[in-house]
Amino acid sequence: MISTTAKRYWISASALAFLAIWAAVSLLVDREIILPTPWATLLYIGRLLAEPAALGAIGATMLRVLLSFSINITASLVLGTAAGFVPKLAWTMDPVIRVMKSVPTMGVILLSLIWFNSETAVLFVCTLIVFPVLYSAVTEGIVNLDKGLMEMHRVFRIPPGRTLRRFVLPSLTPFLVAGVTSGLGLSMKVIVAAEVLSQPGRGIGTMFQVERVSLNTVGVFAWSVIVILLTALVDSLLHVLRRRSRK
Amino acid sequence: MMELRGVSKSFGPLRLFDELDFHVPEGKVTCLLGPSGCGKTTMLNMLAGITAPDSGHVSAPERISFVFQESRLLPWATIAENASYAMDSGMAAAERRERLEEMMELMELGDAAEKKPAEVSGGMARRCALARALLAPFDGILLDEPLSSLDPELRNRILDRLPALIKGKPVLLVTHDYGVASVLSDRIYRLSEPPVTVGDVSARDLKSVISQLDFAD
Repeated sequence: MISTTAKRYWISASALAFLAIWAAVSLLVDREIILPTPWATLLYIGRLLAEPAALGAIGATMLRVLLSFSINITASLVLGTAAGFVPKLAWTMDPVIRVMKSVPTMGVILLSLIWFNSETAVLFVCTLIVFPVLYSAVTEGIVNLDKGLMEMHRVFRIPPGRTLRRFVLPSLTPFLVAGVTSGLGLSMKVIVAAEVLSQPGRGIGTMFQVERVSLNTVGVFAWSVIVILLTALVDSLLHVLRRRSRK
Repeated sequence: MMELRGVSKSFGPLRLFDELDFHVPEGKVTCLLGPSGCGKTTMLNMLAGITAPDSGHVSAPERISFVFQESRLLPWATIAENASYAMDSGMAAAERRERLEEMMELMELGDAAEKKPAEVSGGMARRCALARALLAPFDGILLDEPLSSLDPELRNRILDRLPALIKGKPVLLVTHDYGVASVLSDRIYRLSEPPVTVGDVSARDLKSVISQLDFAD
């Protein structure tokens, strides 16, 4: 058994090594427009976080992530559970999910820009990419429901509401936890990518584009680091929630 | 009444039942003995509506209760929650609580009420499954080795209390435990090797059943 201390030590060492390589290469290249140093990036992040416009952009993006994620998780729970129990619905969904899973993200973004305004386009793109991930997690959970317990519910004629609340949802939890963790990270990435192209009034993607247009590489780096930090923050929030719910 | 009429059922090449007729009379405890794999559990499953026969007719009461061979408890719910899981939700909360408490006491589960199934012994899980089946509203009950994995003393105590709880309903009991069979049953049948026929236990069999009773007191 590898101790958690050893695991932490390795992970921190790896992160530090990565930072060291970044620093070394940026010093070697010595051109901020190509590869800014870690400290220049850090300084820039500090400056950004003092600006109301940047904070507004972060808030707007996080709101979009939250909104689209709530829509996606609800839709996938409802449709995934229904499809898990009604094979005909599952077969109907199958080609749709396959297309959604393999469609190129950029193609969807460009098309949705033609069809919708920038705000709707971002949500539409995110749904198209993230929904299949969550939907598959839910249907997999349903397929793996304990057969013996399912028979028990049928024999005792447990009402559907109680069955769903006390049996199906708790059985789905491990699949949902995995789905939610990867789904949230994916939502973040896709929403920022969609924002870069659709340019809503406020958003991290919009800021990315502003920095790129003004050839401010350190800005692009800074925003990337901010997205990484936000994803890590959301992950640790989920982690805390998971621990609480286990108690 | 619970009844199988002209029931046939095969699993792959194995013809388990061939036009089997069998019925559990109203208000009687009927027991099935027989070697493992001879179709006892399949008979219970057909009466419970879990397994459909290939042909023939199954009739059973609308509300049926079942102690499955495995306890089949919800792992995330407590013993008390599991025991009350199939109770009539239309019942008043106070009455519900009272009946649950009474049953938990009867099954000697009081101390385990707030524990999860993984935290209790197999015997406790078994008694919890039995409590759930007895608390569910039922007009017929199927018992598949209901007292397995209980220590003998506890088994005998529960066995003393059980007849009063299932009185007046058709009961089909499957067990390898001759003690349980002889105390609970009005009729004992022996199943043959497949294709199964149901035969009365012969006088000689009954004698051997009685000689194996281990609670002569």
